Amino acid sequence: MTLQEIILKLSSFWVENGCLLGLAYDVEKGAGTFNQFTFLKLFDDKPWRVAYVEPSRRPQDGRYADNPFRLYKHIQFQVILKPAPKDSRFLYLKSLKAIGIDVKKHDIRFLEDNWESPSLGAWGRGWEVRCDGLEITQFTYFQSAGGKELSQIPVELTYGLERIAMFLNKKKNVFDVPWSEDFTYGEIRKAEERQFSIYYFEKADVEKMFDLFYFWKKEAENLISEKLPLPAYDCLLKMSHYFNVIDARGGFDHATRTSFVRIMQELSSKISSFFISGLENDK
Amino acid sequence: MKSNFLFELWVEDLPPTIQKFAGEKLKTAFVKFFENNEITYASSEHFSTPRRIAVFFKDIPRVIPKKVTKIRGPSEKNAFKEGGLPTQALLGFLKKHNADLKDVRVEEVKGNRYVFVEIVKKAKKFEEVFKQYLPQILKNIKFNESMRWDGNCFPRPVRNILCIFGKKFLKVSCFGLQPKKTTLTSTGDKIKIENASGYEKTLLRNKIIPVPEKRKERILSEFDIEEKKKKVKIERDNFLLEYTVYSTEYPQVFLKEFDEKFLEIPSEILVETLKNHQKCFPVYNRNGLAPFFAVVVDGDFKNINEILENYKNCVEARFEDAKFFWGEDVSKLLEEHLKNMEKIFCFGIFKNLKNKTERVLEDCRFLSQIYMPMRKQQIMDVAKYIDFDIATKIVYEFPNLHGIAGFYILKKHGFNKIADDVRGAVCLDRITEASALAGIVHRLNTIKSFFNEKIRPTTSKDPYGLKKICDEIVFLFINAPIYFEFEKFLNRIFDDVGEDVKKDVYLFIKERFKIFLEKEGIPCDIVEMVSKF
Repeated sequence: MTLQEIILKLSSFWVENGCLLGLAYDVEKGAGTFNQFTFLKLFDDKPWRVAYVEPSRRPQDGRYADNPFRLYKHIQFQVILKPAPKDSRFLYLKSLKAIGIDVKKHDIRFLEDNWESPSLGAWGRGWEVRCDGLEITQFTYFQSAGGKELSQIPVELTYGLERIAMFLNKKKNVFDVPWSEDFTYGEIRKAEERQFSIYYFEKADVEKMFDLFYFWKKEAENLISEKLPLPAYDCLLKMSHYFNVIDARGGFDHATRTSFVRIMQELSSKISSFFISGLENDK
Repeated sequence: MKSNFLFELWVEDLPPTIQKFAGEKLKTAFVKFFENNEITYASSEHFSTPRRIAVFFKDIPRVIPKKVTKIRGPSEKNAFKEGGLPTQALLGFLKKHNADLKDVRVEEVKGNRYVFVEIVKKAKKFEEVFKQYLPQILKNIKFNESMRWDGNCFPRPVRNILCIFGKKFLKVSCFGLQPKKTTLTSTGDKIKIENASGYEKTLLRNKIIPVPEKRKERILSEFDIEEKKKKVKIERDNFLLEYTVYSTEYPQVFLKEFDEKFLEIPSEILVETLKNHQKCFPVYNRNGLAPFFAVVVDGDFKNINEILENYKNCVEARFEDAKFFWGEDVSKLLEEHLKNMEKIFCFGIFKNLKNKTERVLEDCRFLSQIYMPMRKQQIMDVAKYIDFDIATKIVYEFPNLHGIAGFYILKKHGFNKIADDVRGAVCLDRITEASALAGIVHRLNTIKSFFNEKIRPTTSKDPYGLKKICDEIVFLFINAPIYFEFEKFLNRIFDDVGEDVKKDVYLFIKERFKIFLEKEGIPCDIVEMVSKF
């Protein structure tokens, strides 16, 4: 099964199960959770079901396209079900069947892995799901976000698409995975992996990244005071990305790193408060 | 008439640390309920797997018989005022026992007259009492962590309840669920349980071993079989073994090979990868680490070869990653690693790791002059490199490899003797005069920085592992090939902090020393005598 078939089948499965088919958000981010369709939809009591594909950038995981497994940018398939249905676990297992993983023929394990995002002031209880030893999904019941306990508990499913594709196609190297019948993953992405590893690990101007972090911080603060939480959230995403780039270069000592996380946490809390109080659409 | 009773909660995968005590906790809550309601039973059992916790009680009476209890209250004199009106004492007594004034009788006991009431507990069906108290029973179970869902709270979401009394399925509800006549497999298939006493057997028929001890026995006996077959030794890592017991329902052990080319990587790195990342057990032959790993799968699979091949792919991919980190680390100059120590924050009085190392170097220079002036350079070398590997990628990925990674990197650069001493100072597995002195100085500086910030371990909390560090100091003092005077170390190392900090550390170490002696089996009176010095 090609990567694009997996995307199509997961999309169909979750649309059939009541999800809106969302879009990736066009700002760099480290995880699908940062997409507005997830984070900004957690706070109210309205039911919400969404599924979307999200490219996630983690500069620290870059390996110059030399590693068969690790990538600076990987593709997540993200699902949010709010409130989490009673059969969340079995619905998830059915979704695996939909992409050709017979759960009775594989060693499927739910290993404790509680999720936390300090910069979003969010955490949840959950598991990493492994299939024959391979981590294929993060399964989380959110408990808190923006520093507030959530009234409706959603479940978040984050599928690691490259790993699933490797597994289904019995490929040992991610770059050999068929993206479609005509192209491999390597043909589509290898150059990008190599060049961006060089950029993030060797060429990125770390001093400038600090400046940019502070630039977007100021912009976010201005937008919050202007009661424009949506663009302010974009600024927070930018800050988070520059933070990740600086981190990949070992540019932080522990104390500075903690203070940067705190800055983002405070902003995320301020932005969340618009959504908690239902004032996000005032302007 | 008596019947057997079974209660099962089907839970989304419980973390091993929670599950380990969950069955026992559920049983304790039921026992307390039975005691409070004078419900008898012949014997009890508890069960737990990642997805279920259950209790079984044998021979519970179907009807809890009527019970009349006579309770003595205040003396007649204190119970009634003039004119026969009840006093506050009597009214309070009646309220406490939910009784009425008309129920009061006065009787004589050893020449004194007291009021009495008779409390009659009507005969009740067990299931009625159970239904009434179930929410309270479940509420009384306390776990170290919990989560919320649908207005409920428990360590993980409860998705099915099964409650059988004899052959009858009790209609109790909790966690917003109505009881079912079935339990579930991991994939959601239903398993019909005919009666309470057949629970364990029915689960076993469905490849579920509900008793953790039996799962452990099975793993260990399969380890033995595999070892004999392949003439190898499987490491019985206690932590991993327990983790595996509590994260499987039907464990089966298999040995699988990996590419021998990875044996070029230091074995400690491979072992860390296998155990911590892949939850697999390392395998050894007479030459050391063998190109095999032991994997415990959960279930009985016909396509086991395919599954093992998938496990092998994961293990080898992880090894590739470790190889990447390792390659990066060994290709760097030592000076680069030392420079990177500046970027690593240290808690307390030291700005960063480089800053801390400089202080350790100064202290070692001073103390080596007293104890081993001839070995001053050797000691200074250990001090210089004792923490440098914390700045490496491999230790960032595997913190447990601190000391081991440094050992191999120093060897790669030809510093064989320093490598041995650094490893000894960090891992305590090869102690020389130099490694002991530098190891003690380094650890005392660590403790100093925390105590100076008023961070001290308590009986129950020690988030920074200061007790372990202190125990290592005691170990080094005792096992050092030469005699060090504790006071000389303290006076030197604590010269930049207040006397109170020095005194507190002294008392802390003395207390840990006492515990060390007790653990060594030294008689209490001798321990007391020694610790007075």
